Amino acid sequence: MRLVRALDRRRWVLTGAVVVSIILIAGALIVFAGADPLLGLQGLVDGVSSSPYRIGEVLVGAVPIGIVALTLIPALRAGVFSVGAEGQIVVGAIFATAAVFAVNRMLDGGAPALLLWVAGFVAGAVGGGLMALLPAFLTVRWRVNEILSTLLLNYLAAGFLGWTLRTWLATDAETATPQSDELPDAASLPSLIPGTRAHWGVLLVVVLAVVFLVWQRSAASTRLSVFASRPKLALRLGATRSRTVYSTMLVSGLGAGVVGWIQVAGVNDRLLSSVSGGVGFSGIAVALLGALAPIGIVAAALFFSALSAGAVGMQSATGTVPSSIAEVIKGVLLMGVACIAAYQRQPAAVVAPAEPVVADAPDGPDAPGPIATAEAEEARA
Amino acid sequence: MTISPQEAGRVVEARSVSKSYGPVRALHEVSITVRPGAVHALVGENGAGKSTLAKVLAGIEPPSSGAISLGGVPYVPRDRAEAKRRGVNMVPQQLSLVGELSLVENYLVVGSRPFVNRRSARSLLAATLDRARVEVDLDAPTASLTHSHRQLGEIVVALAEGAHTLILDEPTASLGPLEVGGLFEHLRSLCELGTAIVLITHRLDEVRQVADDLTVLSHGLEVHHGSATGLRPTEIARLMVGELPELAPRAARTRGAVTLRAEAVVAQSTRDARLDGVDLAVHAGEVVGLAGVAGSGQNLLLDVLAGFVPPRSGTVTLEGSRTVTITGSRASTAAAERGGATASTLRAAGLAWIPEDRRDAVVPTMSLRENLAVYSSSRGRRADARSRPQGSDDVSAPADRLAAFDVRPPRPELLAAGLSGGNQQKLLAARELGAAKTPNAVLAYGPTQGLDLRAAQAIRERLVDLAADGAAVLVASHDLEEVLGVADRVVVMFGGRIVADLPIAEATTERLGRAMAGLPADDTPRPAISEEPAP
Repeated sequence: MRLVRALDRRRWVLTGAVVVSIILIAGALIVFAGADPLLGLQGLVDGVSSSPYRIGEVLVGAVPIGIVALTLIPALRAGVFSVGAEGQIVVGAIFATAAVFAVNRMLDGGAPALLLWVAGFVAGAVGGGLMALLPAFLTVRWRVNEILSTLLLNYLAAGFLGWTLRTWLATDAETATPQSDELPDAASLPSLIPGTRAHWGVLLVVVLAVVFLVWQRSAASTRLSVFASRPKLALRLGATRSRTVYSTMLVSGLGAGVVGWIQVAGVNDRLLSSVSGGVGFSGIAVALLGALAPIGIVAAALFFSALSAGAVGMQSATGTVPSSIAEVIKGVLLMGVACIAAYQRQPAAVVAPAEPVVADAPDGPDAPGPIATAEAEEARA
Repeated sequence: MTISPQEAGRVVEARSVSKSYGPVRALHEVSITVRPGAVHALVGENGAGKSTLAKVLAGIEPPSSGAISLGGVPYVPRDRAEAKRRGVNMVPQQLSLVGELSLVENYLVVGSRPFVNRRSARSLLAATLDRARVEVDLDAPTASLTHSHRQLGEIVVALAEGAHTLILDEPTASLGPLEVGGLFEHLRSLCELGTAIVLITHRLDEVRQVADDLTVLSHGLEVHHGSATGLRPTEIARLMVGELPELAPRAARTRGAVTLRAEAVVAQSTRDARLDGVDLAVHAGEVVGLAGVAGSGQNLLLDVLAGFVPPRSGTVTLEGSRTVTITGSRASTAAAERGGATASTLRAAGLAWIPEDRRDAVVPTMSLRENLAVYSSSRGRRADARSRPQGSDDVSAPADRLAAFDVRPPRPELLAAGLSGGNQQKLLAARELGAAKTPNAVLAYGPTQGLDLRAAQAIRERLVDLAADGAAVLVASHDLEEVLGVADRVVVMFGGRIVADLPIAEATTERLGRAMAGLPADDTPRPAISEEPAP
């Protein structure tokens, strides 16, 4: 118990150190760019909150990151480190766009909105799911490292998107960048808050967060944690390698595919070559930053999105600080999170020597008390 | 034994050393003198403070109070590296060799040399091997060596690092009797070269076999020190635990029908072990001991019986409320997948499992309560919840169950990582053997490893009780004593086959030892004890 308390204390000290260093680095960058840090901070706050439209932008940015991160929870908990969300978003977006156009054409342009939404949603999920099952199969069948295969498949997906936008989904209009035709109006996701771009996808994040909150207390969740660290014991619980890898990667693929649809139907109204825009990687970062807990992930997704939106505000307020300062801050933050996770793991190795190092799961020894009790309750019920 | 002036400079002497972890006093005013050229046995129950004392001597933990001197000069190592430089080194129970690397490479990666030279390192190790009269392959990956050779390799690396005082933490825990004999011969020849050896052990007959000096610890206190010669194991045991509980007399049990059966099982593990047509039947109500030196296939047999490794051919059957059969198949991947499914089917059919390595079965990041209840998490929300009788798996009172198995501290909310190794073993036993419903069959590999006499005896009695309640119990171990203490019948494996099957009355150490070494059962002369048995 003393050890646990000492661990907690060190964790807080380390977290404080990370926050302080982020503030120092950001301040230094602003000063170096020749601006007043306080003015920059003012711009940042204004960029996020000065109008309903800006608040809407934060939500719009948080939706795809949040969905990717939430649906990555099972995979990361099981130690299946899939970094393929980027490519799954792309394939989901292509499938969704093609499905929307196909359905619309079949009904001679008169398809009802609901049908187009369902078609886009399902097609996006199928596309993302298929894109995730491929590396899952490679991992299960030939033990191909899933980090490598998912990472490389992202490039394949990007290439496929470029080809698609120049051939079978290319618009007839003259455009500066390759893109598809505009989706029919009925296919667009309606906005949730009038006057903003915030669309109904926001509600999907809330639903997913609740679903994963409940799921976290389920037996399946425990099984995945056991799988990550004790494969033999997991076998006795029925969690085979193939079952675990297929199911967890499928969930993340479905989520990413739906994000592809949302980006096309809710944000851009057409398929662009920048449809994924790094959201897949931000999703992993946010999942880890949120410690694989739904509430934490939603908060982290909002924070990431607000940082990007606020940096634009900072750029216009100061005139000299580029908005890419947001990426620097995210990078420093991620390094800090990685340090905290690594530091947390270290003393555990002293208690139980020669532990196999699990590739992720920074949420290990956090407050098992109430959750443990709840899980036991659940198990008994 | 006379001590030369040179050797006198290497006497490690700890005086009134105490060590506390918060309010817990692990060591209290313990004194020990380790002299060169002698084996100093350090014995005591789990939690008696043996490992703590060893860590203090090896510089891994600083003492809270007390003084240590090395050759009369104060010795206050800041860390393990400094202790190593002063010549005091510890070989941990979980060996630290990197399996993919050879001994030479392992030697190169430890220590803090600014430059490394493979050739000179190799010749240094070869010279050390020669001096210690040990023969170990220096260039093979250490994972391919037998366990006893890895153990010797670790010792040799420590000697090459310049150790004159070696602390061995339970080096014999996973060795067969012949291997133990071989290790002890090497330890004796090291002593003749002037090396001091501190031997931490649970096995009291080893003290008589090899030790010159003896220190007995009990609850952090030193209760005996002196010469090891002339002490009988029972006297040492009494010093350790006070009054040793008598072994419960073996009640006659009725042997029922065959519960667990392996027929002509052929299997191959990813590592070196294989099974070459194994037939084994364990009846309800009997305890079968499975003996064999490391690498004879006992491990693989248990993995096959538990459903982790699918057999290539042959069948495994568990009779219970329903009958589960695994049939061998050559389609390896598909079979491996089915193998996974069968592990959970077998468990659901009432198969309890204590693996050789408790780290396969205890989840350190989960609380004790969660560890006890982990199988409840495999229960589906649908069918099982309805069909399962109420209270069949008693997880409602985890604290009681922890207390029943003497897990210290018996606090369900504690993380399993916070328990000592022995207590993790008890936790595992509490989960697998402590359920309200008697398992149909029990697979246990070294169920009492790392446990002190009293705790080990409690587990043994529990296994026998389960058998009396109708379970088929299979206990495998490297430790012959552990097998003999509990089994009604002893089966010996060698080279992937079952080479002997003896009722306990005929299972003499002599006969079992011969079978474990792969020798025929007749009266041909015994091999010299230092010879390594073929794996």
